[in-house]
Amino acid sequence: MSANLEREKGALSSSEPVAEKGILVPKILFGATVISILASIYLIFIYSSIEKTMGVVQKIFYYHVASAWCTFLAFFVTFIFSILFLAKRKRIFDTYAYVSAEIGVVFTTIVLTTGPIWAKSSWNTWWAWEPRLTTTLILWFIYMAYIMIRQMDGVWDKKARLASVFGIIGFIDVPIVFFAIRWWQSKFHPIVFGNGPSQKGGGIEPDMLVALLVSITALTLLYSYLLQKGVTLENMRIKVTQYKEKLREDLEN
Amino acid sequence: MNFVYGAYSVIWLIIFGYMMILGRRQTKLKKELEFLKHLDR
Repeated sequence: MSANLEREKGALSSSEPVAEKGILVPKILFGATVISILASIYLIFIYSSIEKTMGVVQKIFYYHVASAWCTFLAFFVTFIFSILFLAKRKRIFDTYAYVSAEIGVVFTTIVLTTGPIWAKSSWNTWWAWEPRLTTTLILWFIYMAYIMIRQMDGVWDKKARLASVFGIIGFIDVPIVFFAIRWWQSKFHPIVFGNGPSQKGGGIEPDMLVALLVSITALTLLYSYLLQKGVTLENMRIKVTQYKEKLREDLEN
Repeated sequence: MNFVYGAYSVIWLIIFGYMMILGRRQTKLKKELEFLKHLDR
């Protein structure tokens, strides 16, 4: 039996699935997520004023920006847990890194679909190869590759090590995405806060800022809920693998 | 307004789609775990 299977079997006898340990945290997170999402919808569509230049289509901005924030957060968590895994070699760190990357890809997909819808109405084109859009698409491909590494056949710790290195190197693109419109000329993508080489950020009205902050809170809570749920499922999957290994060994003896 | 409906529909479709995937994974793993526990007895 390989050292990897020894580890799998050893962990079976000592650990209990997270699902059996507590159901209060997921319930609280789910409740808080639902309440904050409802509050954000009210603030976006009823409370906040309609932007003068773009009109009602500007309301895409709130969830588009909040999703972008969650993308950065998710990949940052993957980055941190990848470093922790390489340093400590504990499987739970790898689990958090993997689940967070998967959620990050979901939020990047939201950013990459809502962006073009907004672009079509504002720029009259679905896509433009400008710095922010291009670097975001590259980010999506990087983490899709990360997920594909995780789904390869092979021993988990080898895959985990390879994915951790990928998760750390891939994170380099996150600050590039954020600063893309501040470093390079961008005719299309607006800067809301701060200044860039070709434009100055105008900021937003206080009522819009409230709607934006609540939207960011709502999607951050959703991210936390999905992370917790994903980690629970991943622990169940590990448990299933451990049982299979134990049964296989019993049959062999 | 169509663009706003379109964008928010896509957002909820992606979120609920992902939650459905997680739900299916959970059901499959629960069944598998129960079966393996039964075999182990």
